[in-house]
Amino acid sequence: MAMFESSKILPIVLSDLTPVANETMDYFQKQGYEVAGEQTITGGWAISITKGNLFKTVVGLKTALKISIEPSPMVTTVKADVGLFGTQGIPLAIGYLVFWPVLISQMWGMVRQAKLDDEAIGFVEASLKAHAPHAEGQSSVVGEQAAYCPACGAQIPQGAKFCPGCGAKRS
Amino acid sequence: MDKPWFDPKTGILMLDEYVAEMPSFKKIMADNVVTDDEILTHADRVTELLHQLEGALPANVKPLATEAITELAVLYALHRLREV
Repeated sequence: MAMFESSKILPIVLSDLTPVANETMDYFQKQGYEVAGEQTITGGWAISITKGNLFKTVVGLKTALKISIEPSPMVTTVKADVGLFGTQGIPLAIGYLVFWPVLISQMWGMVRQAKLDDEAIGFVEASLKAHAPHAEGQSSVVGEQAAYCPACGAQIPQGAKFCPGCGAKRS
Repeated sequence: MDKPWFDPKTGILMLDEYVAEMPSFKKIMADNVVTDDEILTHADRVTELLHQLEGALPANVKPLATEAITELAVLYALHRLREV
């Protein structure tokens, strides 16, 4: 897991994550956040939310909480981290700022204090569950009791000591 | 230069916001090109400022200033190393 990031791997698979992304954006918009979202090439969503009193502008670019919803064959991974509003990744110019490590650490501290990352991941999880029919169909909840590798997201068979996907040892 | 280092409301560092306002930065970036000469001249300016600061600091404040500057350099180096 990255240094300034919260994430959760959910055993839910949806063929289209757009309704979940739209609900997430609506939820934060109603709370006064400025919101932007775009679909990724993998069919996931990258959502940014920002508010003046929680995030600051760095060399003219607004920082934000980035919420990523990424599908894979067996699971959906939801991540929350600090980045720039409306863009994916941090431009090189900001990475070169001597104060950037201090700033990102401070902003992540404020996010954690406000539990904004937990709120975002929790909302996405609830939305995913609401959109996942329990019957066979285009979407499904994949074995709630199954174990998943925290490193790669692959399903780990019961009793296995190592992940069949990446070889990581089960804790 | 007597601006606060931190936002009094949020406690977030504000020094980065002054970078874009610095005459040196504006002058060097005016043509969107950074030359070797401009970097050398700026390195001389930073060296001169550090000399001035070292001479101006009271003996009881110098260890704190030294620690703050070097710890910032340590954090920056660690951050960059982690990205490699």
